[in-house]
Amino acid sequence: MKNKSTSFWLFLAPTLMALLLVVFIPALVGLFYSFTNWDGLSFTNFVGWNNYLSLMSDKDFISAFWFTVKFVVVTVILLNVIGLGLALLVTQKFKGNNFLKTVFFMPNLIGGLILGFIWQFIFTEVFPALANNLGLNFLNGWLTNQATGFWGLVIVTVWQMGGYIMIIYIAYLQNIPDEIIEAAKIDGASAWQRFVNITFPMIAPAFTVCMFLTLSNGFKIYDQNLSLTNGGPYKSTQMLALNIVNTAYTENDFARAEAKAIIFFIIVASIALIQVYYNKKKEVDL
Amino acid sequence: MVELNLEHIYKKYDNADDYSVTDFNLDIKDREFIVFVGPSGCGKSTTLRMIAGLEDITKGDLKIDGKIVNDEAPKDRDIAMVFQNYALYPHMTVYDNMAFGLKLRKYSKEKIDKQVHHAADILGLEEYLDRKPAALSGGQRQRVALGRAIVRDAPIFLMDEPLSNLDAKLRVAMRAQIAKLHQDLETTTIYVTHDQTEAMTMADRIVVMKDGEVQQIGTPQEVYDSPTNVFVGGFIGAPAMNFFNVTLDGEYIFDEGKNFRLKVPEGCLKVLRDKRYDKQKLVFGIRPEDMHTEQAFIETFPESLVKATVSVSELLGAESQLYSKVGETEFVCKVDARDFVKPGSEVTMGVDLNKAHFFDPESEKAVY
Repeated sequence: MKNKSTSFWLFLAPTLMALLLVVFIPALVGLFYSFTNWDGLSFTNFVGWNNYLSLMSDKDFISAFWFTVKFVVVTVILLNVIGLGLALLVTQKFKGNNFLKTVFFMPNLIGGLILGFIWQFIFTEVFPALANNLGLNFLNGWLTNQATGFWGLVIVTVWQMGGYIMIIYIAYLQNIPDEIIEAAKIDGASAWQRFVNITFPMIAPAFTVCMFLTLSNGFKIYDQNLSLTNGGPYKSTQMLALNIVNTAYTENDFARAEAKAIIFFIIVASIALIQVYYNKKKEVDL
Repeated sequence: MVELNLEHIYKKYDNADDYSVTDFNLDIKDREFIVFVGPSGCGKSTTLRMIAGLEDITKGDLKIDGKIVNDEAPKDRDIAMVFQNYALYPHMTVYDNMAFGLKLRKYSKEKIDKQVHHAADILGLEEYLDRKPAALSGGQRQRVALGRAIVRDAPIFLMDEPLSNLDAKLRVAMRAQIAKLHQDLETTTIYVTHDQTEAMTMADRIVVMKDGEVQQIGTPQEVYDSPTNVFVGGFIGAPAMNFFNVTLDGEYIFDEGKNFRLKVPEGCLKVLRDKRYDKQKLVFGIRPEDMHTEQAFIETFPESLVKATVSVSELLGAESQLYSKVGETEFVCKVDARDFVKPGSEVTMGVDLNKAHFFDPESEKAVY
């Protein structure tokens, strides 16, 4: 048995080392710094809960928090509805469905930063051009206020991640045996009844996975935010991750940034875990 | 009352060159138990799925009670279907699986409850109603699938190889249960199988299919006693019918190497001569059970004997199957278990020529 435990640890070691070095140790060090007045290089004394308490009166942080929450709610709904919709579309039998699958997935291959710049061009150059030529006034002035900044971010994120979510739903949709759908047809179910009563419950595990991915991704979004609006105008579209980075590198307040990051981590982790727990309970064993 | 008419039905899949089903004609009477039987890929399941509405009909008319239903959706045809892999809804309990079709048809709660319990009672599923399909054995799942069809009270039952996933013993038990259900429920049933035993034991009429074409339609007795061609003769009956290439000469038939000479009974001889098969080649078919090794038979019919070498001999309890060879032709002879023969030995067998079948070697169609 000794042999077994040696190889057990041997196989585990690389992953364990990587996790320790880049996740656990930095997290613990970060937790430690959040109780100090660390400036990125050194610290002189412990400040207790002061960093955390100061966040309560940090207007930028609080507004970034609510902006992010709003963003997450909207993108989670849109991404899952659109991802599932696209998956249902391309799993139908028609010519070109494989081509469409590729097309819908492609935005996901472009990095978020570049995507942000591309869409910035669309919002600030293409939209006004369209507005002038077609007389569609609502296409004017995008990214110049919080509302259009918000929806701009939503559009970019959904456009980027929709195809990815679609792929996950496709995998689960294709796992449903044809016979079960046929049995439902014979039982007298219309297309909508089949979707609600058969298809949807059977792809519940995909829903758990996609909810988790869209939820955590929504909270952690950074590069699109940076390149599309950079938090502007007047920090009104600043999201949590960007706010934390700015606190650290623009305001050089590393210790407070650490405190924010800890709070951020606790929020994301607990929401994601609660969500997975509840969805798992509803899933069925196939 | 429900009658089904299949008139010149053809099926060609989108990406296929050939027809999967060719010119299928069948009139099914009310309460009839029809079995489609044939080797895999013969088009029997495809035909069933066309009746269900799960496949489009390429050409021809499908009528239910005189009304063409080619373009009606499955849900509007009022049929119930049992699938080979059960096709139970994995996220629903046994009760909900059976109740689903009734809920969709907006039956009252009381009526659904009554019908589900009635079906569960017939099938012995009462104690499993709260379980999910994953917690059931294969046989139980198959019963739930049957129950789902029963509760619907549909006039037409379609079954697509419903027993092929069960073990041998369970299959025999379920075969009897389905036959009994058919008697009790008095539904018109179409049953697809590749197993000729199921076809023989359950059917009112058998439809034998091969390569998308109907070979023969008839009662089990008709199909067994007078197969219309070599394929049906070989497919129905276990072990399969034996075939010998022979030449008719005078009153006798000879095999190619003249290893045996058999006297053809007069009535048969007259038919063969009338059809101008004298001095012509024929395919001679004889069922394993129509060959005998009893001394009494051999002495009574001295001109109906074949000397053969037994290569394998299987003792099945009440009977033995002798896998034998005469000249280059292999055949099987089914004899009483007491007449067990050691492999390798030469045995004289009597052939009951009153049970002989003759086929044309070119067309393979029955001559006598």
